[in-house]
Amino acid sequence: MGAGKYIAGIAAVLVAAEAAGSVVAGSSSELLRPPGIQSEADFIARCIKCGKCIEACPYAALHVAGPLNGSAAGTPCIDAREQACRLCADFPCVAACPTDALRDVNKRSDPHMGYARIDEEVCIAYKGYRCEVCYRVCPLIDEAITLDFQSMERDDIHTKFIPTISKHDCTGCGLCVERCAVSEPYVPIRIVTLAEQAKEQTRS
Amino acid sequence: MEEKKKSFPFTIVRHIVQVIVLAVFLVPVFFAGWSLFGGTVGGDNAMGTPADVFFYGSLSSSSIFGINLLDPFAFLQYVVASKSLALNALLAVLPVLVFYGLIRGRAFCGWTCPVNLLLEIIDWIRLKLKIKVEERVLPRHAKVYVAAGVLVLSLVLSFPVFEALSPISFINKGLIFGSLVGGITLLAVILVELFWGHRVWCRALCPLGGFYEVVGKVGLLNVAIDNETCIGCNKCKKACLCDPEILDAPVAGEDVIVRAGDCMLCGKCIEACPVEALSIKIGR
Repeated sequence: MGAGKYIAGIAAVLVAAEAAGSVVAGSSSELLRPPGIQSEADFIARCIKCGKCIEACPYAALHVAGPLNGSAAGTPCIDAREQACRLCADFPCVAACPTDALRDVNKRSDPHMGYARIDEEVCIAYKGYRCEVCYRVCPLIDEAITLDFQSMERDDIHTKFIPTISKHDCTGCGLCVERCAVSEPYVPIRIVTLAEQAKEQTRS
Repeated sequence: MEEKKKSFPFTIVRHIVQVIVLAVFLVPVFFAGWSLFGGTVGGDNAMGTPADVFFYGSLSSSSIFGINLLDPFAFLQYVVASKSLALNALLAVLPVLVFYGLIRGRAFCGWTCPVNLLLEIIDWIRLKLKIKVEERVLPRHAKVYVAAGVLVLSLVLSFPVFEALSPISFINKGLIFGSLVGGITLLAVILVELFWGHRVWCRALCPLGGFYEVVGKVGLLNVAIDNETCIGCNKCKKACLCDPEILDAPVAGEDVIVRAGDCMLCGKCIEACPVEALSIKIGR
């Protein structure tokens, strides 16, 4: 049948495009990964997209990356603004992983999914308001986020309470992002993922 | 055909097993009170999860009573992509390999895989629509080379390539947690099946089937033929879900079992045989 061959051709092109898409698009670097990720490259090489970590998260913070994420489609990720990682004491997602894509975390300060970065233009603490929300909700308060007291310009009595993030201590759980009081024009705190850090390093 | 129905009702039992496999992964999701397709929304308090149930996971990896199971072909892709080997993963692969190794590699295809169930439904639809397609368009061993190609690509590209394209994922993981991986592949498989050739994907292209074809070179359960009884009517070949040629040697009297690794123990040939010359026997 002649028509059948054309349809087979179309089907082959579809699958080839799908495959090429996952290779060319690479892995989307903005995806925030579950705790226990070592590096994005290591994670992508090991993750078989079985979804067990998603099914193990008691806060349903893990969801599946959509089809437009290249080779990362189908992998687990966190939307920190929606539902951040709660850094469970026993890390059920890590325990569920069959291929060690998530591994080597024992205590709550172990994971490094990324670190939080504050946009000074939008964060109201920089404008002099006493907010402290990110600081107060941080599971590693006074380690990952500290308050830096700065005096106000042209003012002798008031102080700015500037949240300051320790890149080294921040786990990247994203609870500060979830709870940030500001959303307009955009949320002034976000997690710089491991993949983004790697990109920034190669750029500089 | 209608007057004698003595053989074990393989097709019906197999369809029941296929549906059970499709549904069983959803049971822990229901038990936990989670929604299908990944729509569960969490709160500030920890809640019960599917992982709290004694069985959960997907066809790629699952846990039963704390014992981990892992798709052996996904395992191979992970090993070559990451150039590493975790002991956990190895231990999780062994039960699956032993199970299918003892039975027959492609018993997975015939009894477990949801895509095979879908293709059988499409077969039925195409028959109703009276669309004619070619019986064989690609050689059955092609899938072994596809499997090898997937492993080479996974090695070079450093990610498990078939896991990013698998149509099995779309059905299985789509239902469980809303993964859309493999949707385009599944669409292509359906198109090809409807308009080009009979069972092209399962017979000739699926790398997982290719992997299990290699595993199927061993296995204790085999379709055996009684050469004395066989009348050479070839009805078994017409019914075969795998490829008619795997029955050539037994029907010609050159072998006593279907030796090809391709056999998925679907039982279609046994049901089709008018003289009960075929049966499943233990040992080879």
